[in-house]
Amino acid sequence: MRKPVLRVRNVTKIFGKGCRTCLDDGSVFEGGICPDCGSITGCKNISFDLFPNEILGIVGESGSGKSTLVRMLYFDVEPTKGEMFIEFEGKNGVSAGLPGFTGLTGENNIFKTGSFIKRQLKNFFFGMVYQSAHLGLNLDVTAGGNIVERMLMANGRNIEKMRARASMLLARTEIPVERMDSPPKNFSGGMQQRVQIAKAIANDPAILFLDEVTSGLDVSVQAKVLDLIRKLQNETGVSMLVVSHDLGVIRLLTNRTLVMKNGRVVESGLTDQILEDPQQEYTQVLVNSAL
Amino acid sequence: MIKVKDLSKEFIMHILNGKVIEGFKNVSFELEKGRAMGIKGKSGRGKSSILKCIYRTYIPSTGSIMYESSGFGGVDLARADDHTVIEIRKSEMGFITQFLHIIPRVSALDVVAEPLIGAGVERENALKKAAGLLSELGIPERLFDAYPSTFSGGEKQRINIARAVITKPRLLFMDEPTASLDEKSTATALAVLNALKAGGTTMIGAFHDIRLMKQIADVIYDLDEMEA
Repeated sequence: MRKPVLRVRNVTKIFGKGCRTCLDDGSVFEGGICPDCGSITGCKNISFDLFPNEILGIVGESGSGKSTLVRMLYFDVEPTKGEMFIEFEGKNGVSAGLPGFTGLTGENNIFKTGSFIKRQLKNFFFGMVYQSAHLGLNLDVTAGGNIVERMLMANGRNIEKMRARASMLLARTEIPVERMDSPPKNFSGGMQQRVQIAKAIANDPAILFLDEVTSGLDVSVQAKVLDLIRKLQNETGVSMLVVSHDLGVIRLLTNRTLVMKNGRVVESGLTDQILEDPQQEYTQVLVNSAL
Repeated sequence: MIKVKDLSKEFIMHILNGKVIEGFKNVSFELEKGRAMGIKGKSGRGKSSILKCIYRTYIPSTGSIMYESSGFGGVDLARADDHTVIEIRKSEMGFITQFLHIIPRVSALDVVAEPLIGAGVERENALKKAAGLLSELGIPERLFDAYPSTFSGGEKQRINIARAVITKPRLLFMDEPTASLDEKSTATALAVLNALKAGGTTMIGAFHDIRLMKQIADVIYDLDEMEA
């Protein structure tokens, strides 16, 4: 049996100072607000495995903690507690790029490593596509510049080579290469998302986080972005964590799904099982709310 | 190869105040490798639900499904973890559904070739095999590049059959596999399925048409009789 590339254990985020009540493992509050200290529960005791080549979906309504979770994994948000382990032997320049790091053996809690290693992982190992392009891109810098910037962070040196790769990535994500030197602020929403994807895969990541990447796009543009994600996954075998409130997106892209509510995972299973035989009340409501 | 014991499924509908809907009750059978079993029963008796429980689209309420996997050895599919089920589905199982769950904007040829590519076969080869299979099932070549969402019911069903059998699965599920086919395409479909069976594939199918079922099934499991 293959081993998971990413193991996440009991990851919790409390916004606010937290108290015994809201840090207690069993507590659940409607809306996530602690009645004693007023802190907000973002995520509570989230655990899951992500396997090589796997697309895992995270579904749930707005405010259920989906985005907070991926942002913790991408080191944008610091968890209150919890562990993350990475086990990986592969071609990605991760180990080479981490001088003094013993490699991704799956033994160290990555949240407890230093900021240098986290930054390296962020640059070499993970890729992130945010819901809003302005979080993932500098909208005033050219599309090509955005992508090259990411390669520079992963120790890219040769500007000609990097430009050539940027133009290849833009072609792959179906951005006309003539637009390479225009800033994404002049692009449509769908194009901005595709530039974000090109940037996120610039360093051949092993794991790609996709946070509501098609929300807010009109359906024909949504279809194009989803097709691109499917194609990339088929070609590269990158593992993906797909966060979406849209069950259609989850059905199309994922094999396995976690259902979140009030910062917790209420149900997890095979995606077809979640959609056709949901066990929990919340999941049944969610599935029956689909158009 | 597969041994099902006391399998039952009930659906608890929390959104209908915990109303319990019975799928089927106490199903037990055993099937040897290379044999085909047909499940017979009136609409609503749970034929599809039995298939879905074994494939694990449904979580069984009680009972066990012991399956001799080539990759994992003996596995109880009723309890196996998700990743084991995903692996077994990918490398050992096929499922012909009543309706094609269409992958949008993918050509017929790619829809059929996809499981083979997923199993590690090189793309060119997979596409060639897919084309051969589609021709065998009587899909005209001009449709190979078209999207199956635009196809007729009978054409979609044949795409469905091709997609499920292209990997020559060890275990094949069939849910009314010929329901929307005319007489001629039914005959070709049955020929494809019988050839697969001759190659060693074990099959479990739900049919409402007994005459058809008898053309492929070695044993018949009668749900109506169980009820009586």
